[in-house]
Amino acid sequence: MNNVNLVVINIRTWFYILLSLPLMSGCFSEPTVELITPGPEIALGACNNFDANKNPYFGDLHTHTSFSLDAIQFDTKNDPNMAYRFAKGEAISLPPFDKDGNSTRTTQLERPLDFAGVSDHAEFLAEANICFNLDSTQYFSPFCGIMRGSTEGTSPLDMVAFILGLGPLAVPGGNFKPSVCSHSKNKALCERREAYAWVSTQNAAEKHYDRSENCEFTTFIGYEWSGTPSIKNKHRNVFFKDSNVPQRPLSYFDAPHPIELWEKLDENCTNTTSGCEVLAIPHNSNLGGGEMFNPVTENGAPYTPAIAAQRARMEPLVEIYQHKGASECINSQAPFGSSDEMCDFELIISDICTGDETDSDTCSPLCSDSVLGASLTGGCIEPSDFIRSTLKRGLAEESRLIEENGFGSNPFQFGFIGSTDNHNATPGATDEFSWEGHVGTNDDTVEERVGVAAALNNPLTDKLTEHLPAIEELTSLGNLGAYSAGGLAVVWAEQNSRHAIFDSMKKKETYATSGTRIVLRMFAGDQIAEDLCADPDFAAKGYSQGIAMGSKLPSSTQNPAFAVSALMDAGTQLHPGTPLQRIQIVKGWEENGETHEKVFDVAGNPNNGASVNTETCETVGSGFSNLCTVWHDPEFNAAQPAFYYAKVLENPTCRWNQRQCNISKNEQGLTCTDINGDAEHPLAACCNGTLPSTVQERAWSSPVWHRASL
Amino acid sequence: MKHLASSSSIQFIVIGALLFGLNNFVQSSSSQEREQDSIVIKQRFIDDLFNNKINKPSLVGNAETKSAITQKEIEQEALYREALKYNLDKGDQIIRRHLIQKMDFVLNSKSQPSSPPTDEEQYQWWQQHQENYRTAQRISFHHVYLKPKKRTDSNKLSTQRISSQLDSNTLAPADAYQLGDPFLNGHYFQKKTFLQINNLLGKSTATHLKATNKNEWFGPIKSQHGYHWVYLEEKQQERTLPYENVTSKVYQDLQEHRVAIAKRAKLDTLVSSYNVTYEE
Repeated sequence: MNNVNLVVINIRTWFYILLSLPLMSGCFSEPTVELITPGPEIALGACNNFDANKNPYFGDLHTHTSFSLDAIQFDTKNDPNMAYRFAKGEAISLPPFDKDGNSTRTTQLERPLDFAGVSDHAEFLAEANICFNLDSTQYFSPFCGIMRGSTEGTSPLDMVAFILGLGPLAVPGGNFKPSVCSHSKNKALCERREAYAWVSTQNAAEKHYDRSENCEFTTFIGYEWSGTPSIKNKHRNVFFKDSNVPQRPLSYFDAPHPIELWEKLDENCTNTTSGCEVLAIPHNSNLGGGEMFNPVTENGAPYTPAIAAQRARMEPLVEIYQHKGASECINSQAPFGSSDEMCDFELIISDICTGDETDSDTCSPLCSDSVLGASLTGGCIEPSDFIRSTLKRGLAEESRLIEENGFGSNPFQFGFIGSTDNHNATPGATDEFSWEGHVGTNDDTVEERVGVAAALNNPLTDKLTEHLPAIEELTSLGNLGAYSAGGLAVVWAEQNSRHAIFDSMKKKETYATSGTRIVLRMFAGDQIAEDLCADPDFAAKGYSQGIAMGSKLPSSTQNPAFAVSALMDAGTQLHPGTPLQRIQIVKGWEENGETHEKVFDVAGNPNNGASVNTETCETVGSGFSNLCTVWHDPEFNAAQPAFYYAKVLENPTCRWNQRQCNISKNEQGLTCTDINGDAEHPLAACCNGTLPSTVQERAWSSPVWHRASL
Repeated sequence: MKHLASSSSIQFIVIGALLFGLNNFVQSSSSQEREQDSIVIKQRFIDDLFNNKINKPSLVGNAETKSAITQKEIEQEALYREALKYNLDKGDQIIRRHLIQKMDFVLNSKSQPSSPPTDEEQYQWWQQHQENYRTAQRISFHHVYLKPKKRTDSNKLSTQRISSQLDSNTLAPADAYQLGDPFLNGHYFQKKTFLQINNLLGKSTATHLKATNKNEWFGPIKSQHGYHWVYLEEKQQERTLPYENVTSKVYQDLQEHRVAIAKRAKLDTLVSSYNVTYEE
């Protein structure tokens, strides 16, 4: 083992060395990319669409491409460049591919987005490139082989290394990363490949950002920080204001705790002289296992005022809706959830075990009663996994900080956005009529998409479960039919440009939709005119008389008015929009150290009788093209800190699965009578009632906060 | 020449050179054989390999595991060498694809232009590819909106009132929105494409706007949202963007084109060096 080798180099060896130098140095054998010099940022007022009273811009800030390991594993080959082309309205192809490498599916948005941001996982960014590109020297390494599902001849030792290699995302501390990139000999390779992906991400954003006076499409440079310690989701999308971005994306391995992430983002972005600005957007708190909004440090100490302020500054928004369900609220008796039937909407984990004998077999235990994390197939759950509960917690947390320190801010004072989280590089693909699924070959057919309890459909899972059966629980994507078509982020901004949109996101003048394009606006204040809804200058007067959604009401003892206006989605030429049913206002408040919530119907008609024929998907009954009201809280108490947000509901329509099931059944000449006789039928979920057949699309405004006035 | 060949000193030099050459050849061959037949394992390599495979502190120093990993690496290297001897790399589709991809990178790299395109070349490119630098038709218009009422007769009265007020031209187009209801998507739309109008105001409004004359009110147009009157202020025809506005895109497009042309030529030259025959 300790041989000292004298290497004799003859002329021929020299010849080969000289010949192969360019290849060895990576000059020729690796893809290279140079950063495109960004153009000058668009000044406010320079766009044709500039409007001081702001317009709503629809976008998606959560999309994965072939640069994400969990996308390319399923044959997603579209890169960030293709994602932006799709967002701008181009048709793109999707896997699976036939034997000649041709795609078998194409998809296209009926209406382009106004803005988008690609958010590939910072973790394993290099590995996604190394393991799926034949030019890489590590392509045939055991780790990469397993990543591709080619487990032939893989030893149990390799398998253990692989499990440990992915495990870091789930291991607290994040300092545990045995993969091809933990090997010192691959350090340079991994750095080059990570840089390649990060520079390509920036170049794609630069290339597709419309810097002309038309300002038709805006891109944001970003990535996803994907810490999942103990299988509890803490994921955040990190986005930058413009092309001033750090040298490399900070992953969970660089910053294994959210507080460390914020500190390092400050260090590498906010506190530099480059003009870099950043925000982090948490998502899927519904899978957080009580950890996403737990106001404690890594050591379990409660937040200090400084940390609370840092969180509020760094995380002004939260993603309330996406493919993996809604995170707004869960319908369950207090203290477990919200006693609100409208919370029964697109929930991945549908009910909490309360200890009552009426608990269902599939209920999820509270995390305090469980050792499991928050996997999709039935881990643990906490009320604070839901944003409504966390908004209430924020009120209590602010009170605690003020009581203990004399000052302090609400760390959970966030506005809302929706997005997709799709792994097909198809931002904004939320159309229930043509939803192509969440990720590549995993759900490329109707049968797979509606599959109940389907696990990852690739050889990798099969091999993993052979060696470690528990891995199935951890890696399963659960009930794919429970996935939604995803949501959209809407930002009220003066113009469609990076700075204008980013500044509005910082101000939380945003709202979320479940994929529809409802237009929703809310102003609040004690000077709001009672007849504002009839005023053609609704927006200008709304700003002059009050504050917009996402803001704090000025300190006052007066009962504020809430002017809420909603316009139905105009739809498209092929698919007209759906009329509105009603507007609700959700209130949460703190009283004597306890928090409460209440929902008010403030406009429209919840009993309008509208319904949908699920056999034909034709809608029945009328709704409203627009709704507007000026509302006062009948129980307003100036001494109680509170928040208010609006929720706008459309009439019910067919959910994506119902539309696709109807088509598949018709094509195959089947009825539910035929299918119900066979429990193993691939379309069983189309008929057995396990999936909802209708959906009530909606929009959620960012909240408005009232601070206690004494 | 004959005299030179018979010179003992020249004979000595020639014979010496031949012997030196032969010696080198023999040494080179045997050295090559030795290289081919030996597998050299360096301590550093083993350490790295071990750390790569096992990153669990409790297993560090586990001699048995270390030995197993090392043995496996030796076996794999031996198998690899044998496979080469048996020419097993020939005809392997994965290796073939790997090498094709590497060669593609080589061609890409060799096809990069040595100098950037001149201004004249870029301008010429823009002139020859104007279809790539065209903008869609855009219009700017004012908009009055009326929210639909439940009663049909009420709608009729309201639309008649607005229509007659607009016909009387008492209000400037920019102020006319005050006759109607608030509309969340706004009352003035600047340089919008018809697709954008469709998204904002619905299909029927977009369709009617296409046929509307400039500087006059048109309406009411019924949509999902209610009733609309539109005043077309500006119609910007589809046009080619001036060269000055698209220089960076022209530069990128031309560079991509030059790389593609150079690569094509290299590939053609490469292919032409082979005799291609077609067999049944």
